[in-house]
Amino acid sequence: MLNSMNETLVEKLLRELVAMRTITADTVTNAKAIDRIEAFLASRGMHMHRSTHDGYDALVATTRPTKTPTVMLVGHTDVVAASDQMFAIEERDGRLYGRGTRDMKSALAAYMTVVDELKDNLSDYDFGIMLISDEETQDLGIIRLLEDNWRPKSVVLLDGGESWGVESLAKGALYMSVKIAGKSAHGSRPWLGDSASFKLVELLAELQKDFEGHGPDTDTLNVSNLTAGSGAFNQIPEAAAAMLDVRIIDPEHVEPIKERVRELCAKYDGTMEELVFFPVLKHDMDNPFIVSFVESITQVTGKTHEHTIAYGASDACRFDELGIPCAVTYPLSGGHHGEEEWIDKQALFDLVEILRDHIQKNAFLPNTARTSELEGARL
Amino acid sequence: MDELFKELVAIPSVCGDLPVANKIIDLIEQKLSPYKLHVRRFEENGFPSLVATTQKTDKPTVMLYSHLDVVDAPKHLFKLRLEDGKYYGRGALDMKFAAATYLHILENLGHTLSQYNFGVMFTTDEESYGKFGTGKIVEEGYLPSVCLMPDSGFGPGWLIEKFAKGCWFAHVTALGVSAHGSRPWEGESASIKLAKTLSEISVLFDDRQKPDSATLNIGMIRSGMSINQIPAAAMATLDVRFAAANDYHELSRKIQGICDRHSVTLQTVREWNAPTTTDLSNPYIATFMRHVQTQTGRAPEPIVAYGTTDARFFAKKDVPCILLSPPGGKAHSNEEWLDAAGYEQFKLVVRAYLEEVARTYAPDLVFEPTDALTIRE
Repeated sequence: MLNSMNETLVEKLLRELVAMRTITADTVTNAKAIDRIEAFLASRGMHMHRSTHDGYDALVATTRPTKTPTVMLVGHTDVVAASDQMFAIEERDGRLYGRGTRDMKSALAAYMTVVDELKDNLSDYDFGIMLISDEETQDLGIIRLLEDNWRPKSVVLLDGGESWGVESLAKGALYMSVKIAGKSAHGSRPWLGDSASFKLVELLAELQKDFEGHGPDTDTLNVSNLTAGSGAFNQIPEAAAAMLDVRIIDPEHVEPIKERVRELCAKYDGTMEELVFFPVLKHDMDNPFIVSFVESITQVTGKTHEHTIAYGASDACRFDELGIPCAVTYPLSGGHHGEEEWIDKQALFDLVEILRDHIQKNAFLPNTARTSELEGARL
Repeated sequence: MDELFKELVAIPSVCGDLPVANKIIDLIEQKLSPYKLHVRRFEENGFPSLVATTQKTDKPTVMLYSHLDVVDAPKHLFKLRLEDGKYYGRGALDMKFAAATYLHILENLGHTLSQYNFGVMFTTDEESYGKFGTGKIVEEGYLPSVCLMPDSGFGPGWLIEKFAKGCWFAHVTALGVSAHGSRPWEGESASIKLAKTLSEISVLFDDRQKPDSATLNIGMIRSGMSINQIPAAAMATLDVRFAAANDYHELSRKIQGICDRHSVTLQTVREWNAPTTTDLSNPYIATFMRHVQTQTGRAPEPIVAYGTTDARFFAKKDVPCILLSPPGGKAHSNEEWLDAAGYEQFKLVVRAYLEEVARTYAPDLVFEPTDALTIRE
C-alpha cells in the first residue's frame, strides 16, 4: 500500500506539474518542466541524458548507465491549450480536474514518486524514464530518441487504453494539412477574385460527409487550425488552410483516405501535406512484459483485463516498429483535451503502486547478475 | 516619388491595430501642427480620429475625408513603389493618396488658410466599422455642405459614384464541446458545424456573386489551436452586398434561419445600410466634376459602386458626398495601384475646387441642399 507521505508527494507533484503551462508550442515552459523533473530525478541518483531536437527538449533518465534498460516509463510534458483555470487543479467528488491530469502529467508525477520510493536501492533496478515535449503536435521526440539508439527491452506508456484497460488495438492516426489557394480582391467584387475561404468550406463540407456518424468503431475526422483571411471583412481571402486529424481503424483504409483528400484538394485548388502518420497497432497481449503489467493492475485495482481499443494514437507504435513490447493504458480518468479533464484521485495513488509492482517484478536485478557484473567491472 | 505619400503608406495601419492607428493619427496631428487650424481628436471604442477646420465651425463648406486604415498585406506592400507611371502599395488607392493630397494642399495654402472654409478629417476604422470614426464625427455635429470622399469610383478612368450597393457585416460563431481529436463522439466539433453552416449560406449566393446582384465574402475563418483537439469554438465573418433593400431583408432572414438550424450565432457587426443614390446634378458635385473635366479633359463617368463607404453616415444627415477617385484599381489585393499622373491631377482639381467653393469671400453657391443623397428603401 502507498503510505500517506507518498500519496501527498504524488499529488503535490501533479499539482506542481499541472500549474506549469506546458502547451506544446511553449518550448520554454516545457524546458522548465523538464528542468524540474531532471533535478528531482538527478538528486535521487538517476543518470541523466538531456537532449534537444527540432527545438523541443527531451530527457532520458536511467537507474544505470545503459541505453537498454529492461523497463522504460515513457511520457510527455506537453499539453494542449486550455482555459486559465485548468492550470490549477480543482478537486471535486474524488476527482482531480485540470489540464494534463489524464494526458499525461499524472503519469509523470507517478514516475517521479516511484523513483523517490526506490531511491535508497535505485542501483538494484534497471529501468528508465523517457520524456519528450512535442507529443501533442509533430511528435518527433520518440523517433529522434530511438534514432539515437535508445533500445529499452519493454515500455510502459500511460497514454492510451481506457480506465486500466490495457490497449490491445490502437487506431492509426493520419495528420494532414490542407492549403487552398485563391485570389485576393475587394470583398464587394467577388467576380474579380477567387475566394479561398469558399473553397475550403466546400472541401470540408464534402469531406465530413465521408465521416458522418463516425464513432469508436469507425474511422473518425477532426478538423482544426482553420484559418482564412487576415481579419478584414471586405477582403477576399487568397489563402485558407485547415489541419485534419483522421483516426483509422483498418490499415487498408489509409491509402483511400489520403487519395480522397488529394482528390478534394485537386477539385478546390488545394494541396495536401502529410504531417504525421501512426500506423494501426495490434499489441501482442501474450508478451510476458504486457502480461505482467496487466497482472499488476489486477493486483492493485482488482480489475481484470478486457480487450481495449485505443482511439488515440500514441508513441507505442514507434516502439512496436522495433519489436519493443509496450504496455499502454490510462488510469481511471477522462475528458482529455477537453475542459473537464480529470483523474480519479485514488487511481493516481494506485498508479504509483502498479508501477512500483511492475518494476519490482521486471526490473529488479537478480543479485547474481549484479554480482557478476560488479566482478566483471573489477576486471 | 512623393515622399509624404510614401511615409503614410509605410505605416502598416491595418484596421484594428489600435497602437498603429494612434501612431498614424499622431503623425497627421504633427503634420497639421504648423498651420492655424481648429483641431479636434476623438477616440471611440479605441479607434482614434481627427478633424481640423480652417474656421472655428463644425459646418465647413467642404470636408475633405480620408480613412487611414488599410486591409492587411504582405510586408513588402507597405513600401510604396513607383513603376511605369503607377504607384503600387497597400493604401495607394484605398486611400492614403487622399490624405497625402490634403496635406500637400494645406502646405500649399499655408498662411492663407484662414481665407478658406473647409476641413479635413481622418479616421481609422473604415475597413471594418466606420461608426467609430465617421459615425462619431458626424454625431459630434460635423456637417459640412459637401464632403469630398475619394473612396469610390476605383477604375482605370475618372469615375464618379452615382449608386452604391448596400452593405452588411456580421460574425458567425459556432460553439461546440472540446474533446480529444480521436474521440469526436465525446465532443461536438465547432469547426464542422461552422463549415456546414457556411456551405449552406454560400448556396444562397450560387446564382449571385455578380456586379448587379447580391454578393457574399467570407473574409475570415478561425477555429482550433491543436490538431488533435476538437475545437470548442469557430468563427467567420460575412460581408454581404446588395443592390436593393429587399435583397438584404430576404438574405438576412435566410442566413438567420440557417444559423438557427445549426445552433450557430449570427451577430451584426456593421449595421446594414441601404443602397444609396447620388444626385450628380447637385451644384457642389457638379462643380467638382467640372474641375475634373477642366484638369483631365474628360468628364467623370457615372458608375455603380459595389463597395460601401462612410458616405452612409453623411447620407443620413443629407450631406452630399463626392465619391470619385483618380484612376486606380485592385484595391485590397496585392496589386493595388494608383495612376501617378492622375494623382497629380487630383491635387490640382481639389486645389481649384477649394478656391472656387471654399474661399470665404466667394459668393455662396445657389443650390437646394435636399436630395443630394437619397436613401432608397
